[in-house]
Amino acid sequence: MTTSAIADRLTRTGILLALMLFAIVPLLSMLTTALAAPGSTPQGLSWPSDPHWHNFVDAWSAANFLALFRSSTLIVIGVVPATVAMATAAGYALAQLTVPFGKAIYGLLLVGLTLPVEALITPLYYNLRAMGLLGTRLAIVLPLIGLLMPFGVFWMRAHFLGAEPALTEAAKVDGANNWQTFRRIHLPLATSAWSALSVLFFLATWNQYLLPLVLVDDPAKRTVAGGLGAFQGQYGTDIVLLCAGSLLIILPSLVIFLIFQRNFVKALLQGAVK
Amino acid sequence: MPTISSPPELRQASPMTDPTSTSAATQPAGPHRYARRARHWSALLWVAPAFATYAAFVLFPMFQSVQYSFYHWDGIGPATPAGLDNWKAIFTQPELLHSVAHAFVLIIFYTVLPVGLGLVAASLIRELRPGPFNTTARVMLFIPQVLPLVAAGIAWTWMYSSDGLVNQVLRAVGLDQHTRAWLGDFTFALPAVGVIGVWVMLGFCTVLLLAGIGKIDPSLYEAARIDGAGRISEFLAVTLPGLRRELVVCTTFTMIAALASFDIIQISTQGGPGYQTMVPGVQIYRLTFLQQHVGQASALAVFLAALVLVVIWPIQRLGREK
Amino acid sequence: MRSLTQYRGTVRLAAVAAAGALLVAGCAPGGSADAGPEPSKPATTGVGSEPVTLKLLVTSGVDVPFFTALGKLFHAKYGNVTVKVESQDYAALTTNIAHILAGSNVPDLVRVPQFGNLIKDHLLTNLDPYAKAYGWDKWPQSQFATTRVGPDGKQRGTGSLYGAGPGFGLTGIYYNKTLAQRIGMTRPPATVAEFEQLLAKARDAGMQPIMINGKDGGSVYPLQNLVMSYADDAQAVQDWTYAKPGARIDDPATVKAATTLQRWGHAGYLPADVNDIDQTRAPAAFVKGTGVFFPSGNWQAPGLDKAGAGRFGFFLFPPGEAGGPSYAMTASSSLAIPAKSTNAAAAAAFLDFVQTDPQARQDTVTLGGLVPAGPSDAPAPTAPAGSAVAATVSAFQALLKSNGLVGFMADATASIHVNSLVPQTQLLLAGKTSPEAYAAKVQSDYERDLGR
Repeated sequence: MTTSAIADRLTRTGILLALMLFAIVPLLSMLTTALAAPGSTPQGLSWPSDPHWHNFVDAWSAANFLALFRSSTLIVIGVVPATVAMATAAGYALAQLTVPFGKAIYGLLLVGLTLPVEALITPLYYNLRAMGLLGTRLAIVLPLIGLLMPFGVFWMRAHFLGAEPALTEAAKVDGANNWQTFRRIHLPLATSAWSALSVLFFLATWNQYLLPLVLVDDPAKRTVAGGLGAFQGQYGTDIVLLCAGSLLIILPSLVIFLIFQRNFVKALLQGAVK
Repeated sequence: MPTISSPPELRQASPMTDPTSTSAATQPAGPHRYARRARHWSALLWVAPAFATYAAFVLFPMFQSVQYSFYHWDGIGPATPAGLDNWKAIFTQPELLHSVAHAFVLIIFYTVLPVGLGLVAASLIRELRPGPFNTTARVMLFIPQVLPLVAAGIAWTWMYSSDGLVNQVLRAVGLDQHTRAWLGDFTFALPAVGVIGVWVMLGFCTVLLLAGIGKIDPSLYEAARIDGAGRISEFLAVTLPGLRRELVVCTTFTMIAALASFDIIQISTQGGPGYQTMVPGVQIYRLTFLQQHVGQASALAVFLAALVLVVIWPIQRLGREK
Repeated sequence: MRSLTQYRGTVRLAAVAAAGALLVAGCAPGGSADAGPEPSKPATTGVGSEPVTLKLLVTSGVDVPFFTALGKLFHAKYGNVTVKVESQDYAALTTNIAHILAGSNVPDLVRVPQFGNLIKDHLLTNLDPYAKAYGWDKWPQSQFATTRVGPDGKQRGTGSLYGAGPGFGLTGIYYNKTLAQRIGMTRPPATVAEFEQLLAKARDAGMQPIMINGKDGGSVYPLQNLVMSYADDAQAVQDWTYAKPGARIDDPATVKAATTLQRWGHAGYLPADVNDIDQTRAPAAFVKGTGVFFPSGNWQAPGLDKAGAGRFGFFLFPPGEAGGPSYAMTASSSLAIPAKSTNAAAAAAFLDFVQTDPQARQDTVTLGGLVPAGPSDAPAPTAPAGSAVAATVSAFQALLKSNGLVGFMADATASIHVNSLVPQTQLLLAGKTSPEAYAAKVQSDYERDLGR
């Protein structure tokens, strides 16, 4: 290898390492800060001589994280299975069955892909108040199902469009109806698609901030991200505690991503660019 | 006859995708036809739950936003018709107009930089041999994308604070006179908030573009090599055109995030200093809940939604053209 | 990803559908034209004997331990009433209060930052009947001025009573005794000019002259004080904060005050990152010795005394001319009873209790840092001599006599603080707006908020 080739290689690795550093450094800074002495004002990045792991325990109880995690879990359970099920059914029908006004329905759903939540939050607030749901977890769950639906349908439809038509034909010959064809043939084949969608929806729900902020006053009934916002309002200046709390919040998202990252990225790409 | 739900290009790719449509089109009129139609109507049941929740919690509120935007309403008492007042205000009140302008500045940070850097990172990773470093690079770059934006806001607020890492680094390299409270600085607050967007979006763009590069026919690269193309011209002639669809997805996704940004701003600056980082999302929230100008908030909300569509539209077209 | 342009027909259809839905929904949003006067609940004194849980919603921070302590005292006296304290940070409460009060889970007592539209929308209980029943109307009435709202729902300082509380806030300037001595300050400055000389000395000695929180509006306090000092009168400002018809703030005194504050920024009297310092960082930095002076309010006093008893002093903002009147901003730490509260009688009893019970009044000073008011013959709580708390209490009593207490400009409308005063003052300090434009903008936002 020539010197210039080596230099070239070093430059490229250097650029890549710099970008990786950029991605990870804010989290490292949070970690070292979270381990500093409680109540102190440490520097941005400095490993404390005696790490205070106990800060995580303090943050846990200060923010009432147990209640927050429980609340987020309930909201996820309310949102994800229902949305995935509805989106799968709709995606299948729009791809494989002849749905009256199917094109119009799908077009309207596509518009929803671009609608920002902020454009809906005001009427949502008044509607949910009229329904007497304000302050309950349902106030987060119901709108979120609606908001995630366009992406879900889009995603599942893209998957079912790619399904092998011969399979459907074969099932038809066997006298299977739509439901049986779907249940026995297409759904099992779609496992990777809907499970990836579930992971995406989990993250979208877990990380949701604006809906809980507006629709639920009690931080203990919010999502974790919404609760973290309130936590920041209360402990904004205790940077050590704030960093410890934020890391606790981040952890589940991070773990889920690392577990699923292989399928996740693959599925994301399939769905997004089909 | 019933509409065909798959778009033209995909129908071409797999003509048999929709088994019922082609045969249905040739069905003669008669009893048989009614049976088919009955089956079609039942297909609506598959779509109904999804569309109903979507209609109830997205479409209907959107219509209500349009309706509210023509009223003066404090959200509690009676509403009075406002004509076009709320709409005029968007173009005449400097704070509202500025917030829209800031959203466009954020596009540079949420879209242009991540896509540009993502192209760089993707082509760098492509040349790496598959292995632990390759995987680590992807995963590490992608992590910011999966975290709550609230956490991103908190992490970077700390990075930018007086004692934060950014100033620590500047001091370490002897640039003490350039240290500042970045988010409190009129010149740097908006770019600083923008960099948070770069951080969040970079991984998404990189991974998506990387996959796109993987799908480009290797023979195209070989051909370019044989033609004696350098790295740059290879990139321009092969990589970039091959990534058109991925680029459209990246751009669309990140632009919506830029125009509709809320979480990061609300956590890190609340629009300050002055109105320097105020964006439509935060403005809508404040107008509704703090100022109780529901009509004004709704006008801005509808304007924002329309703006997103108008900006996304040409990009989508671009994605279609050969 | 499929492009939207393939669905042009669909979008057209959607537009038609949208138009249709609008026609269907053609009626105006909102409540009935007139919600009627708020129901006049019979004013009974006492708390009955049924078990009651009184829910208090206050701002997070010092309010929480303070009201928790008051709640315990109340429970000790009335065993059937349990007081539960909940909190939201100030900005969140300011933003959400109208919706909390209109919602389904309404507290029994709420800390009201600004009245805004709350009276107009009939969300708060008129306390006049309770004032009569408990005899508050026999007490010095100036203490209730900030929580009276006129029949138009906007003008304050007159009309019916909508809030009462344990004590009063008071603004002024804290100083670090050690540092002040080092720059030769032997007594509080007698005029603004004298104060500016001290600031110059502090800067020349390499100290940070003023510590202040510009991120969330602490810098508005000295501005309002400067306005009153330069005007040598507080009536105009008072009228303005009370939304009296025709009140204006875009006058020469405000322009001069804004000019001075801007000059302080340029001269390095204010911290370089003033717009990034919030209300918890400022006192923390001041306690650590950054800043000779710290303009803030008496709610900081207990914290300062705790950090270093006797190390910090307090004086009122100096007048424009020597011997001129001193002014300070005050606000009742007012609690209001939401119209939807089901425990209004117990809530009113709590309000009476915190104003009259000797131990509650003592806690108001010691824990809240606030000056208790109540009946004129009530025993005065004590504070250790030389403490910041003692200094604020005596300053308050002096101003009560000289009629020098004025409302906060920040309370003039619901959003004037967050939307106008804070960002405009930040722009001013950064040299991005002129003093004239500052005064004009604050006035025009004020008029817009009030619908004038």
